Amino acid sequence: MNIIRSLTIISILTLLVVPLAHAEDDPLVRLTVKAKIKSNVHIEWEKLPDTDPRYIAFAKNRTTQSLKKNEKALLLPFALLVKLRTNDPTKIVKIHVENLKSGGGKHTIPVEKLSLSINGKPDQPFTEDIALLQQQEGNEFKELVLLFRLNTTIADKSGKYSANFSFITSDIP
Amino acid sequence: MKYKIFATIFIILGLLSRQPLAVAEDYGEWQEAARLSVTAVVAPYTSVKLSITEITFDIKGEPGNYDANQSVSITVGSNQAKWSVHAKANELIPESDKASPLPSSRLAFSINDENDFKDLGQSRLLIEGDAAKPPTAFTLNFRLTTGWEDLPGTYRGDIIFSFLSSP
Repeated sequence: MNIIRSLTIISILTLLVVPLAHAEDDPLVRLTVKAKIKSNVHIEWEKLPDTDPRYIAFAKNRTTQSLKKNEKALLLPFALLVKLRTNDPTKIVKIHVENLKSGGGKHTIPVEKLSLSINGKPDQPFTEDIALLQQQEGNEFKELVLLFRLNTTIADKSGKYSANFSFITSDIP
Repeated sequence: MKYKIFATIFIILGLLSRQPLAVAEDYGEWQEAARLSVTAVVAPYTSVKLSITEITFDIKGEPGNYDANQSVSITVGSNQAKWSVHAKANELIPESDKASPLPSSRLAFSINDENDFKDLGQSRLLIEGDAAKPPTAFTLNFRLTTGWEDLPGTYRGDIIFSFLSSP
């Protein structure tokens, strides 16, 4: 009786020990993977007319800036919608605007007279390039509505002026 | 005297010619005298070969799906009754301390240029076969999915191919 019991126990133990499948002890093959991710900045922009609800909302809520004597503020009748994103916290994105030039190129209004409001925040004059994306701002999608204000004086000649703008990226200085 | 000599020769020849007949008669009665045991041990044999040992992803644009610069040819041969090869990736570790590892589930593969990519975050069956199946080469294509949260830099990891056999 004891022998039968012992055999039964051994049989059960054997069933538990014998594997249905086995793997080789050593990893047979190892494939090394290398990924090189480059710095990337996404910049997308479009022009918003003064009838666009976003233009109207930010123009209405915009913080007004005091004017110098004989100065007249002119809010440009369009805005720029800029969409930014980067995977690189060391990147800075700035907007650069050149001097405004009249149609024939005869007259110039210095860019310092132009100021920028970002999402309705106080105007910043273009005494230097203005940062749209600061370093360490993270990788979140950033949408900005840019409104431009031009401070003119009686000395500025009338006419149709235009200016080129560009987005520039730079690393942490 | 000559007769005696001839008789002697005749008797000797007679005896010699009789010997094979006796052997022939006793043949059916041979009994086993010794046994040589022959044992052939056929060891389990498995061969998994990759055409290259490293794949590289060059992520130069915006985040998305990027294919590896190289495809990999895998050839498996085995004398096991039934076998299968599985693959699983380890996370990709950045060289920089500031960046986070890329999860292994971001790595995916497809076989023989099919567009059905399966992620390697878990162990995946690649190929299965049996002893009768001759070694055949399969092409593996690898893909990496990146996101905006992945900082620029170099990341390293590996994909482990394991072999399973049924005894």
